[in-house]
Amino acid sequence: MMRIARFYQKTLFGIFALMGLIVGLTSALYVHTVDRQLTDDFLKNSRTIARSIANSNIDLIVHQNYSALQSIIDQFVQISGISYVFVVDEKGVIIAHTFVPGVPDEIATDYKDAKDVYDRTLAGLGNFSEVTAGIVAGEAGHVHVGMDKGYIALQVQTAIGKEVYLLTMIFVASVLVCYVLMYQVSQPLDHLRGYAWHSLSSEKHASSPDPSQVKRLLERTDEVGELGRVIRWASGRGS
Amino acid sequence: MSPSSLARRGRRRGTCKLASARDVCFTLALLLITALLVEPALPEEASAGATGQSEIRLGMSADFSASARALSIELYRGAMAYLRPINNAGGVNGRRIAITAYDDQYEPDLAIRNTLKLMDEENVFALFSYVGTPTMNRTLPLLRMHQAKDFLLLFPFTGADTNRIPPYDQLSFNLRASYDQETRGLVDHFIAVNRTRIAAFYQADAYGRAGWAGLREALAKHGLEIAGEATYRRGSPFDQSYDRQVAIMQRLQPDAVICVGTYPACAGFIRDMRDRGVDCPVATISFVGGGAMLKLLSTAGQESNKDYTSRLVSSQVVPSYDDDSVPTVREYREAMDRYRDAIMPPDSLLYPEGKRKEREYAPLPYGFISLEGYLNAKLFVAILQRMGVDPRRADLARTVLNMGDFDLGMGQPLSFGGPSGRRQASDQVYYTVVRDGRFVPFRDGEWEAWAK
Repeated sequence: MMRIARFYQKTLFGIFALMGLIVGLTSALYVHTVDRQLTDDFLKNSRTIARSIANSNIDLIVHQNYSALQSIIDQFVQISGISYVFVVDEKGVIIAHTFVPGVPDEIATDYKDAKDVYDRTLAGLGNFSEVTAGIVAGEAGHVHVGMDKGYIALQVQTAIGKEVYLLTMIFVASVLVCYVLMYQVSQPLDHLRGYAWHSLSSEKHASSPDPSQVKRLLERTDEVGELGRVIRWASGRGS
Repeated sequence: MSPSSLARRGRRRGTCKLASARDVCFTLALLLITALLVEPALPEEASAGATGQSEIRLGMSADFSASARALSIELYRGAMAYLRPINNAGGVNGRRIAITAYDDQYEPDLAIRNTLKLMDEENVFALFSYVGTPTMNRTLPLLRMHQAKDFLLLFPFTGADTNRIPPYDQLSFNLRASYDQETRGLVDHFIAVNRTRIAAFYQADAYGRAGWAGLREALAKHGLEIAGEATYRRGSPFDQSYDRQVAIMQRLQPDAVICVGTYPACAGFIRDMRDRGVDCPVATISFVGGGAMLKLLSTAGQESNKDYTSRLVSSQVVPSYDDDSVPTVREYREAMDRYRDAIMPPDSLLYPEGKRKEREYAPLPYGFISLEGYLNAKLFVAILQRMGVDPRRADLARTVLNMGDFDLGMGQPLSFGGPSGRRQASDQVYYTVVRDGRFVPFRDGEWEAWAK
């Protein structure tokens, strides 16, 4: 076990605390940003899909080619996160949809308000954000696209999970590196302490310091070596 | 070699260099002129389809290996039953007629890929007897993009409106009546016996929507609306539970249910409906694959000792395959008897993952679908005969539109063209019910038995 001098333990703890704080704050900021951004992106995508269906298939609706219209909306449900699409004509009749085994009651009773976004909870299916787009500015009907909130949440959680995992890994690696570096810094001090005890104290330690270690200590050109040489001088005067 | 000969050779080489440069220029000029002259003819050549070929190839994309395979296999068998003797006798004007078939598993994306292959690589004369609405719907825009090459879709096995109304109505010809006509007939008959609360059970895709739209329009003519609806996913098997759909019907309590689906799902739905005591009349339309559905219901009925086929009416777009009074039906039955196994699609198409006993397809002796395939092939041969010795794809549409009234021996008038430019030959819808384990005609007066 690598022991670090008590002298440095508080510093080490301070560094760890600071790093933890940085990781924590970064994660929190990231969670907030990603959550908002991904959710916005998903809603934006579904709105784009709704608009694209609404703007590009006016002829099919006018000619009442519902089969071709259904072919088109079926393709969009294959996109991850898009759970359902339905098209309402100008009379408020659902003329194409992707529901099985049928249009949920929650939708059948509430889809004619032409709201921009509906927040829905469908029994047995989950929670959905439903965006709408008007066909010919709403004159010919509306396209509704339902995004699974569970899917959005899962995507957000996955993105956040990956980031937090990375930050945690960086934190753990930094802690280990820090610890090793501090150990390397504190080791000569520990040797110096042992040398001082051995040289100056009347209560001699059971084990005397390794002469090669003492030699290396006294040869150092830094403050530790200087202190070692002072201790040697002081012990020489004392004796 | 003497120096003089070397000098001569050097001079000659110089001359040759000049001559070869002249030759190259001349050749290039010739090539350019040829290219300029030939290039305008290339699209025409490419669109010819049959010129210089010993056979006429028809391209077919259909589900040969997945949930609706019985429909495609029987349609193919019926067509081959007609073409086989024609080919044995030397073909039409010396050209045999071959069907190049690809499996699309009833998946639109595969149908698109197959169609591209059939047009670009196989350079087929025409696309023929495609099976299914969702697949056809996605193929039509492709045909529109390749309109300059004159590819046409002949006699698809679907009654959807997509190829009958703009913008895709000029890209195909139909033999059969539409789903709108089938559902209209069913609705009219149900309403005539006071069954006005009509619900729909349909496939959640373009096919189901086509039937739904026909039903809605038919009811609207009587001032009515669809009483309610239940849907299922394309490819749903017979073994699956249809309880959720039946629960909807139990809640609706309809006077009749019209099913717009394929045989496994419709059979499963009818079984579960009857098991839960919903006993109103049920109708299916022609695409269901009556023979395959009957087989499933009969087997299930034997196992549970119930009759799942009562109060079941199926609309058809061809006469009954049992009706010997119709000349074409007689021919068809003879051909089916003669070629039974010899007209099966190749195993590589039916069993892409290898032939296994439990997946082996047992062909039906006769059926509405193989009869339709037979009639499709017969009609194509009639068209080809009118195109003369050098049939060209570019002339196909004109030839069909010039046919006017014609007779395929179906016991009903057929026509293409005319003042309205008809692209659907038949408007006739037939109704059948199950008696003694087989579909038999359901005459107009017999609907009274279902009066409410």
